[in-house]
Amino acid sequence: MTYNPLIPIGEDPPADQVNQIRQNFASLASVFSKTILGSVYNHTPFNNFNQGDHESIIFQKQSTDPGVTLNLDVLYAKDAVSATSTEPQLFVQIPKFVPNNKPNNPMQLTFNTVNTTGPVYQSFLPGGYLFFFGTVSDISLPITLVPTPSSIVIAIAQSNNGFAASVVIANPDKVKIFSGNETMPYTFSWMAIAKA
Amino acid sequence: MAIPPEKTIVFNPATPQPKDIIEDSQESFLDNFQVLYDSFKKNHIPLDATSNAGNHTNLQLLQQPKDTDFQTDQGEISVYTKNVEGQTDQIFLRYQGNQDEFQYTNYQIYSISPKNRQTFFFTFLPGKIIVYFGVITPKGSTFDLEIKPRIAKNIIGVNLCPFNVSSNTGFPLYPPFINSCVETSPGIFGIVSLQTTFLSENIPPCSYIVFANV
Repeated sequence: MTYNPLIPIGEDPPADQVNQIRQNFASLASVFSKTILGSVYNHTPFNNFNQGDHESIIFQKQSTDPGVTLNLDVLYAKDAVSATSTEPQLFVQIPKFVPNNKPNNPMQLTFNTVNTTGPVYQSFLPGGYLFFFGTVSDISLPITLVPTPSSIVIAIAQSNNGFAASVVIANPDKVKIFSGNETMPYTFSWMAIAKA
Repeated sequence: MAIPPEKTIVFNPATPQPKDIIEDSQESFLDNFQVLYDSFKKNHIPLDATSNAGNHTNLQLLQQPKDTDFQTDQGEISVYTKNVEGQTDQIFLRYQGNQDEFQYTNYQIYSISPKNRQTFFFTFLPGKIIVYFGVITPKGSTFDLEIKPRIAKNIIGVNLCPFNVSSNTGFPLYPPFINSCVETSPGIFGIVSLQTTFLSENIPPCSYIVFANV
């Protein structure tokens, strides 16, 4: 049995209604206490000090943008296509907009991978951008960005010795640093922003 | 035949009364179950769904009053929406124990067409920071790097890095100097004025990244 908002029926004897009413209460309690491997999902259960709060939030993937017409922001999950895969990502839409002649596009807030161990570190920026960064001492070979982005928008490098550094972008995933002498024992800090 | 007015369904937590038979309180039961069902269906997979009931389809965060000061106990993070002057409804976060709130989203991201030898991209970082980035291809010894959209109240930092050109087989080109950050309207910085270094005749093509407060 599932939740049924159309009960009880007045003519039915009370004994017949008890189970239906209990089922509705049980369905509510069950939905508010979804637990997997000991972790509570979505809402804090009834009869708990924090009842009604959210524990984790599971977003069911949507196929369209919900849109906003009132004074609210809306968070949701939707597939986003990147160069490496199509994955549900967290999006936000906000209602009002400056300047007014621009579309109220949804904004992709997340990407499904990060690299926190290097040497090519990777995180993400709102808008469907990947952010790569690190340090390198051997600049004879280009830096390969992983995961492979669609295209690199910018690359910036700086040497630790005060000499100038310049870059060449080889889309979709390579950045080469130049600094006059590739065998110099210097390190270079670098960063790149790319479209996912 | 006149159409009866649509009934307003109201949740009644005081139903049923002790001496009611079910028929007496049927309407209140129906109303209560319907209100619970309809309310929960907003933002959630419905209660009677065959799978995933209770998961979220989306999360609508209604604008809260500007001066609202949400309380967060230990073990709690609060996510909410407030209207920000000169911007839009934005998402805020407040961490456990009533720590200082911070603004997570900052602005509406949209695409801007290249113009005047410059490409324009922007994103945001939590804390009212906008990151502008792109490529400039100057033609001369000076260049006005434009900040779009023009909402920057303070330029925090500017970094530029030249692209190496194919005719230059070894030594790097030099990035330009930053002459000044120019207010294009009161309190809004819209231009970063660049000038070539003494080592270069003209400003080379460069990647740029600008961090700004909004």
